[in-house]
Amino acid sequence: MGESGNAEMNPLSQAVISGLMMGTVYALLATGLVIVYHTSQIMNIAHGEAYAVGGIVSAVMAGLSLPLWLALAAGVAAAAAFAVALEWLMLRPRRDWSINGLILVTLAVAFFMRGVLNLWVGADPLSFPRLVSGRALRIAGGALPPQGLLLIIVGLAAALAVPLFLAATRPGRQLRAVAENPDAAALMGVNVDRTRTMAFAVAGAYGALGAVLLVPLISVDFQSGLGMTMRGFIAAALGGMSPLPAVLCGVGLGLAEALVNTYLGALAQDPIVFLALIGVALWQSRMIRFGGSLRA
Amino acid sequence: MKNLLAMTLFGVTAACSATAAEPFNVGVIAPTSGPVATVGVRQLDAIRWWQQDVNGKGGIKGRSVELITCDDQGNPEVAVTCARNLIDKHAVLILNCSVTGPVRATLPLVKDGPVMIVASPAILPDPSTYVFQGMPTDLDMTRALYDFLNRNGVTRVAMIAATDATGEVAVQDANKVFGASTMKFALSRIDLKANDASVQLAKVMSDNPQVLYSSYSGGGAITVVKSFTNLGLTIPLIVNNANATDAFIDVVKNDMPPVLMSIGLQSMVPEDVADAKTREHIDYFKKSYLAWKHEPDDQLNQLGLLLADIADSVLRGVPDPADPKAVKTFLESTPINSVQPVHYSPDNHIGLKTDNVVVVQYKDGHWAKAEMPK
Amino acid sequence: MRPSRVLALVLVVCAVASPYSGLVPGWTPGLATIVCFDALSLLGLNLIFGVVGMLAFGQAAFLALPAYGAGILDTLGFPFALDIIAGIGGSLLLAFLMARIFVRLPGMYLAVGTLGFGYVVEGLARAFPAISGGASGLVFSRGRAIGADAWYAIAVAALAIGIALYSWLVRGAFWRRLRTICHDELAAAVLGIDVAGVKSQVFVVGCAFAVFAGILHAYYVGVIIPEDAGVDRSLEQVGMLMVGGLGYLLGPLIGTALIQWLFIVTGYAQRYELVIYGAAFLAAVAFAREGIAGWLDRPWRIIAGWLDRRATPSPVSPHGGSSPIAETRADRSEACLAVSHVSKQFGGVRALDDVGFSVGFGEIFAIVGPNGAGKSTLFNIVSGIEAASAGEVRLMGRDLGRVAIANRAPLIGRSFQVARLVPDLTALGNVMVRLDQIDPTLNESQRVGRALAQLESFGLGSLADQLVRELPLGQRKLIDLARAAVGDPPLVLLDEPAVGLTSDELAHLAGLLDQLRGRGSAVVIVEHNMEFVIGIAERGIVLDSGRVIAMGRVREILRDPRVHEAYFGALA
Repeated sequence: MGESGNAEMNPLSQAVISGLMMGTVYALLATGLVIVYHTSQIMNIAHGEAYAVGGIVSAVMAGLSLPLWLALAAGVAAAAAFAVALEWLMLRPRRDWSINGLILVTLAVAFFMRGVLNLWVGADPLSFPRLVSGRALRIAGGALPPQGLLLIIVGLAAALAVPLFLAATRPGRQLRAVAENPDAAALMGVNVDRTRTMAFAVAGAYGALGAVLLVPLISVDFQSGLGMTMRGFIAAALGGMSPLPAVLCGVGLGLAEALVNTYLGALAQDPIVFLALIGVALWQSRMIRFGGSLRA
Repeated sequence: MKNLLAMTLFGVTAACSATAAEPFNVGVIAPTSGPVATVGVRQLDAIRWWQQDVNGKGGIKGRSVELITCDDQGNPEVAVTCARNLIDKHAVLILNCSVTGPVRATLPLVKDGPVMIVASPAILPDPSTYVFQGMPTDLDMTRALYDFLNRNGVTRVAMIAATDATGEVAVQDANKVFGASTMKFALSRIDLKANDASVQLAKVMSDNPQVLYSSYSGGGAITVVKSFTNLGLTIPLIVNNANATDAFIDVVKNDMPPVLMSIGLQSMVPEDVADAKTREHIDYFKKSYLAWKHEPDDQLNQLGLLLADIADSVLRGVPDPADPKAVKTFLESTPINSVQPVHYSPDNHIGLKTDNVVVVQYKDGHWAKAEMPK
Repeated sequence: MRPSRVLALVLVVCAVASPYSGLVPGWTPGLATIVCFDALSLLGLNLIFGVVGMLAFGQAAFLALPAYGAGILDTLGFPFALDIIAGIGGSLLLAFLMARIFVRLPGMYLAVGTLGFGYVVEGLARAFPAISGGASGLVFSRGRAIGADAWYAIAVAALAIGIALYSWLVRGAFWRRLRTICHDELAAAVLGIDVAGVKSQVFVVGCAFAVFAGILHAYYVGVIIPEDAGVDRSLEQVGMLMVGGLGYLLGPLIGTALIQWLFIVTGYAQRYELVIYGAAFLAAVAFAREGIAGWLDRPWRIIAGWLDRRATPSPVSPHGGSSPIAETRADRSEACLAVSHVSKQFGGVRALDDVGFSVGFGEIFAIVGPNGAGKSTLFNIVSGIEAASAGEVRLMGRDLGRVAIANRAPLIGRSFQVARLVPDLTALGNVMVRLDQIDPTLNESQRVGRALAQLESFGLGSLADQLVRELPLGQRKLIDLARAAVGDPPLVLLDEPAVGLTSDELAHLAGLLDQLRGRGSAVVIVEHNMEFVIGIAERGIVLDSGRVIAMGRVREILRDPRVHEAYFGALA
């Protein structure tokens, strides 16, 4: 009756494994959000759509019987193109708008993108084959599929590469310069526009990277984007909008979700995560002297 | 005199035909967008097939059938607006293809008619109302599952249910059927928006069940199947009847569990249908639908057809379908031939039972009768 | 009654009767009822987001919360009236708490906090099915007894009350205050507006609209589900408002009516629904920020104006002579402003180090120094935006360390390097904002009179009714100055008033500063334009890296070699 292979599962170990996998994707999303935030000062609410676009394009390409690697590459390219188009068409011409106005533009783009994806592939969830298949690895009573291992290794490596990139390479330093003071950076010869575009492209590609690695394990649909944006934002906010802490917070968020899921039930997941965010907000507000968006 | 009479009769008949050319307005509420869109789209497709099939043959009693559709998005509030709208437009019947929550919200709106036929197994209409249920109840389907497992000597069962309305009913029914039996029964709940079911699966697997039943319909069912495969589990996985579709298989084809089963209407296994009339009807539908839509039919299409067949029967059999009392009396006293024979009575508005349900298995590219592996 | 009012009334009657006409498919009293409730809720969001500019994504949670509160209490057996009161009261209390927590933080926190609140309400509603109905939802049967037409009448009445309340709030001084906060919180604070307090009030009031609309909506529809509190619904609300027209009175109504109607009418176009909605939202946000109401606004004004043939209003009451403060000031010989041993530390950086000087009444005092010398920090400390790390500042003998920003405003007028005016108020309106704060006892027409007189005395009277966003930089700076000086504050702080002015405007400015001196105010100006400084100021100090390196008569300190080194050394 097929009992072998199912012996003794430990929910805690499974929670840690699942948490690491989801957390890696959150880390990738959070990193993208942070570099966009620093170069453009806006919170890109359409960020998660890069995940959805990456996943769905890959699924459709794979469905057309393209070789898997090509389908995935198409997905990543499409997501990066989407992010670049967003920056170039929607945000750059409106540079003089208020931050709130620009955030709203990204919100509208996210909504629109959901509609486009819904129109294109309908409401059904989609998926595509794993890059690496095979039997799940048994670790301390939990099961880690080989694809999951690939996700964690590649995803974390990519996410951690960003702080390194910002610190050690020339384009990275230019990005930091633009983030700190665009006018000064421009005076020093940095092409601010191109740097901003690059930041968006990287953010989009990272979102799609998370998708191409994770979607074979859980599927994707036209609505997946917003949930990912929210989680990416929470991780980034918890990490104080810095690249390295954002990665750690992303992984932490994934772990926290999985643990809450295991011990408190699925329903407690969202409330607890957001109560945590309220807690962070309260903590930060101790430092503010008086009302509004100003800091003493 | 005779000529005058003949001419008068002719004139009257002509006048009647002129007014009788008015179409039947059949209202359809189906979630064609939102989280349960698959359910609505497929049922609606079958109902549209019925419409073009009927109209192509000259309509019913000379009148064509018009569908007034409304997308309730799987949302109770939108469903209420849809229902109000359909009533305002004088729909003679409402076919409600939606899921538990939205359907429940519309029930009070038809307290004075028109007759509404629903296809959500968690809804148990009171026989005094104008609401009729097209599907077997979730309880009956759970019983059918239990019978099957019992017959095959299973003693330990695990279940995953969603935290939505359908899930809650599924849990209650499972407790009634499995909880009251000698089988060991473990349960885990999963949220509609969850990305990953590994944790829930690990929880129920720690009791070492022989079979896993996922009552979770919609997109999340795919999450369950994928997580199931991610964990390398090999016990039979039984999915909700709403997932016994080719669309579902298409998404999980890269993650097929070794043994995949579902619960469905007997009509899913037409070779085993005893009644000749029913068999003929099913075969006709399958052929015609394939020719029309260029896509084979599935369980959800058949559900839609069930609703359409009930509507068809009403429009043909009731002189004035706009009178809800007449329709109610008709349905309560007339058996209806569809993908399964449907019987209502003044004490019972649920047309199908445990015997109309069968456990199926996905084998060799199609859904067939299930066989428990040894 | 004015002809335009009559026209408006006729249009309103037509609109209210329209669902019964059957002219527009799908536009039924049932749909119109829901539209009215949604529009009521969006009026509140319009207040929060449209008028004050706070990004809040939790409107749906405040719609659902009172309904859940009332419904749960009903299930538990409490009397109906108590359920309603508790549901509404509890929700308002939560709105108040949320405001306290988030309003002081940068805008993003309110945005995510309100979003999170929605998730929490939704999650809690799901988690306790026994009392909240869980995912199946909570059913409200009491509303069924009321017929469809009666419900429509209730909905129209509720919306009418909402519109009246909104109009009453969004006018006069309160409205000016809100617009100032929306555009420039720093200027608002310096003008004496209690930014956090006002924002909190607006947030609670805005949520109150949603709370009342939500209770009515729930009893009408008869059911509420956890998703009703969630993110998607809140975003849809924002979307409807954007399409309708942010900041306009009719924006909520137009937006709701159009979008809800489109949903019903395109019922058959299932797959196109989302992309159409998304495209409309995107178009509204990206290209037509004013929304549909914005497009209709100008034609309406033209029509209404043509109908009424209004004359431009003339100022109602004349300026009544110099204010009491100026009169007792003119012969004071003591210092107006006394800064002693003031230091300011930011982390490891010393922005100001033991700065001290005094300014007398009727004196123009200059502060010069290279960029980064700490001049703006000094002004911030005197205005009250920042606190000194050491030392004290006395104004007319009073230690300012104990005086809150709002209370300093009547005594200190401040203008900014880049004029911080509210673009969509007129020059007159901008000047009135300061009057609103420093003398609440005046009525509106008195304020108009005094503000106009102020502008005229500054030679800017012709600009009074022009929108600031249509004026060039130089004129804006002069209006900023007029605003800073209105009400004759004893101390006026001017941050680089001469930057960006033409030589004509400079001459005008010098004349204005003379006027201020004549009225007995102490004027402190930060400037780089040395020629101008020499021409207008008597005494001054030179700041470099936070320290006073020279103090005394302006001509002398500018000849000091250390000053040359500070300036040119920095530039070399």
